[in-house]
Amino acid sequence: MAEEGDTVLPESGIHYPGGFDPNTVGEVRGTASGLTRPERGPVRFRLDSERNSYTVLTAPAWFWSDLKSELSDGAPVRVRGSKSLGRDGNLYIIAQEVEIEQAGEHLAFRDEGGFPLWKGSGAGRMGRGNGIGSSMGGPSGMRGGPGGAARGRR
Amino acid sequence: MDAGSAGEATMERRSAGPGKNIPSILAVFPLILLLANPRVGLAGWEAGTLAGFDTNVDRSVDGGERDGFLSGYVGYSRLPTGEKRWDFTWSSTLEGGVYARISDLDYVTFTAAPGIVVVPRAFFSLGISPFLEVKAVRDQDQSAVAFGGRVRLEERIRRNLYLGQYYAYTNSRAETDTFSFTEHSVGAFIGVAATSALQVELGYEFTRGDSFRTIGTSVPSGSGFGMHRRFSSAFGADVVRDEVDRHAVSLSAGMDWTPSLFSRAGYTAADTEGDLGSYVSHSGFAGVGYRF
Repeated sequence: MAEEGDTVLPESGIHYPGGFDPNTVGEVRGTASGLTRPERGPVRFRLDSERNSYTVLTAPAWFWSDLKSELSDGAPVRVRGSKSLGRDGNLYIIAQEVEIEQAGEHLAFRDEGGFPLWKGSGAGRMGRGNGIGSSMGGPSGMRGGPGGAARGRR
Repeated sequence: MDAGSAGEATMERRSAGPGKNIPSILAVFPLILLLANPRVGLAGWEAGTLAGFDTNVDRSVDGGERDGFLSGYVGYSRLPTGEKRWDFTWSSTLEGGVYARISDLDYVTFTAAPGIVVVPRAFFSLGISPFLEVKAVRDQDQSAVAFGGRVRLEERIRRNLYLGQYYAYTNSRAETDTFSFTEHSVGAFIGVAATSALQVELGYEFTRGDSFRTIGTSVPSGSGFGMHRRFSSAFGADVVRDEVDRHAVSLSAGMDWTPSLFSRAGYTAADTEGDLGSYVSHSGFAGVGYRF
């Protein structure tokens, strides 16, 4: 589903970062190549499996940099994510997790529900409102009624 | 206390302050809500309804009045895009609620909270957000304008597990000073994305500040609480303003049924201690919402 702040990637027509669909999540093993770090939009690389080639969309460049991970051409990887067919006819994976097998590294990009980890903790995604924790305000104890509320959607 | 003494005890003067124009201020807030979003029609809006209960709506040390409520809201949020290490946020909510028994507590609120979020490193974020809340209550004494701020640290410690801590300051100026309060809160929470659609949070909050409290007739008017003592027609009893400490534990859960439709529920147990004594209250809610 498209989200606020989404951009539509020009070649594929894929919504980023909101184009993740939990119903199309799958896992692909193959070799990585062509890592690119654009100034805007997701860091991406090519994944060649035995049957298909995919473009793997990961996270903004600053987030990838913080992970301090190197992905060299030809490295065997396992990618878990939401598969999609772009309007350019190519296959895409919006990555949830990438394992660089030789280095034993697990790179996490989205939580179980597909929430982008570079957007913060994801606290308060369950809607505005009552209760303490991530919502502003609080229970009705001191503030008088169930008002308040601040955070919300993913 | 009889009606006469209650009247004598009403030393409080109604402030001519912020509450006077609250209904007219609230009337223009839907417009502000729209103007705050330059891209009306895109995602970012949310509407929902909640049903809930509170075992001590009058904050009495002698048992308290139990009541239930039904509320509805519409709001707009702008969350960080995540494309850079910092971003501006915005949240505004228009909410109204009615109570099952004490209709004087029916309310309408508008809350606006701009903010900024900074992500110094992956999985760790700092958020700062001032807020303004205007609340109109059927019992006009409780209508108020509140402002404050909140600082929040959040860290994701596992892919599906996060921790958060926050500090919040609130200064609420009510139509009648008895219902005014300032408070400082610190809290912590832990959340888990249990499945792709279910999120659960457990939180603790400590608050120190003022709170109105309903007192029985057993408390004489000269017992040190006269400065803010007045008779509340909403509660049918005298209320005073007390300095209290409050410990609260809450458990909440949210479930996404579709990308737009979600439901959530929560429960809070709170122990409030003040000069007048202490009480434990319980509150909870369940509701559904829709993002659009």
